[in-house]
Amino acid sequence: MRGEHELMGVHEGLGRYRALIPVAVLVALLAVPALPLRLPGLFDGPLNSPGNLQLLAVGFALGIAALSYNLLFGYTGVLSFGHALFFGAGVYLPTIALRKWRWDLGPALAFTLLAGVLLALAVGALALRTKGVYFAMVTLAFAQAGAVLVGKDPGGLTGGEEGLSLPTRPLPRWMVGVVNTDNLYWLTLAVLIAVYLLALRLITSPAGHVWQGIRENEGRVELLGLRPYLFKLLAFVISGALATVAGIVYLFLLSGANPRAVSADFTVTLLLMVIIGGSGSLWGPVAGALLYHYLNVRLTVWAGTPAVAGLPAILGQPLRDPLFIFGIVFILLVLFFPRGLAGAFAGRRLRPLARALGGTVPAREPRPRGEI
Amino acid sequence: MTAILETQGLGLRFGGATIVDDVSLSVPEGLFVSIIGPNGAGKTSFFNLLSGLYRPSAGRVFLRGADVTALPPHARVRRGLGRSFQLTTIFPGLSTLENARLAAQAARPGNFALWRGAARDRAALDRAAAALATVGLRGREGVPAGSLAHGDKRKLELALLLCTEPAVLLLDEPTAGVSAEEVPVMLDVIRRIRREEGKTILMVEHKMDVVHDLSDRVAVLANGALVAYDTPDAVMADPFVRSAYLGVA
Repeated sequence: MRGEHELMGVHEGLGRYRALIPVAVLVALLAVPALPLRLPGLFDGPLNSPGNLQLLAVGFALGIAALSYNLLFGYTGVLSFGHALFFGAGVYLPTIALRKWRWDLGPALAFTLLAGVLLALAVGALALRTKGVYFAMVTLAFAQAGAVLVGKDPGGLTGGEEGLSLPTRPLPRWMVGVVNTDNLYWLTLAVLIAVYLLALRLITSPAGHVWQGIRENEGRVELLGLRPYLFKLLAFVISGALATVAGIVYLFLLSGANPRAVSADFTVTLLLMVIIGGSGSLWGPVAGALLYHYLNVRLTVWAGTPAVAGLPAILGQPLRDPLFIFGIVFILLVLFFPRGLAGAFAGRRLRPLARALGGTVPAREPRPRGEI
Repeated sequence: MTAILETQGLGLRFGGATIVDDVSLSVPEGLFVSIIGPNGAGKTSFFNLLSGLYRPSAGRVFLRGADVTALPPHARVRRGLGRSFQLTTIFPGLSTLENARLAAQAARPGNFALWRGAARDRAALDRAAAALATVGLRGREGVPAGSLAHGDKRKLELALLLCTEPAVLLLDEPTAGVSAEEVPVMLDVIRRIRREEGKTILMVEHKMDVVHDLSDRVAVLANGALVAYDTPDAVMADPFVRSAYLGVA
């Protein structure tokens, strides 16, 4: 404990400005489209080129999905393998409503949100009757049913393996075209901020504290006189609805629906983002999503460079596969930062920074190994 | 005196084995009742039947005159039944204060509220602080519950119980695993709970001096059946108890 006090003493100076850190990060992110900044090696061309803005914005959209997943996984201790179903609903339902049914944007989005909530309610109400591995399998089964449905292309509704492009006609002009990438960037960032603040409100609310109690010891919550099932269902529905929101902004960025958005692969990807970023905070999974997406895109670019292409086959072939590199990065991260980026951040000197970013710097022990 | 907790013909069978056998026990309000018996006598199973973790194969449980046999554990807690475990159950990753605060919150309305800060409920915070003071954990509020010493974890579990405002406390071996020097401290805490909060307490315990010291009544279980239920002195003098449990010829 003494060591901790010393550390706090050292960082008192920083502590005074703690509240300014998230504001500074926010201002910097908001300003990106207006800044012709160049970060050679990290980004091709100026940072505010449409390509780079798109890269960051898709990272934000995935960040919203990872954050929503973490409300369930990190804060309630519930491991679902069906999250892609709700994200996929956010991607497919507006596309179908706009393209096939020729609805206007407003009703299409309202319908999607309502459907996302009802879907999460139905799946959660059934699946949460089971626990642990059984729960994971039941949610996986539901998600796979969704993926199969999308793949079968019933009535030509989903476009099957091809996916479905988003018609531009019902969209406002400011959202359409490469020249408006900065608008979409701001839109996605705004949604991310709104979801972040909402989640922050939720995890500090009475119900949010019960979620964390369930994560720590579900049986004890029941013997405090509360019904864990109802609180887990509440978390499941909110988490699912926010994943649907993430799916909607993702759809706007990619201008189309792709079956990968409803795949079990996608849920596992979300889990990776949460683990990379750290499940103990709200911002960790967002950082994890950004890092994951950045590496995913940049490693593909890097693999195509002459330097890598010129390597002998035994080295060049694995190095040309971004997933190979990513696998190594992931193993190193998990080895050296078992509590993710946020955990590394909260662990020592950067504790005040982490607090400022609204992470719970919880009075918590490292989780026992293998608890996930 | 009216019975605050009562069982009638309570029985539990797993397959062919009888774990709890036709136990009818009536606990008057405000009394301290210890339950003793050899290992495997069904003491913890009896507690699990009382708190609703097990469904009985026969008989009924009454709490404050109402039949609660069909109620799930959380509903029994709402009616005033608090339970501690032989193996401590707390929230290891939350702070000591948050453990107690969450318990106090659970006992109040508004647990489903999403749109206000949980920490703004001063009454729950005050209740938590008072309970921590009662069990002697003042000054440990900020410590993660998982890194408390074993004895302190047991005290914290008692504080959680107090925060749920129970009328009846079921304590399953509260001194189990507590170091020799900590046992008297733990007993002081239990005495204080009794004195300050006026609770009815049922306790499973192996240490006979503790039982003799604290109890108004002692119930003896053997092979799942209630074989004696009387004042400590009378029970310890009972020849059947002496031979069956105390090992005295």
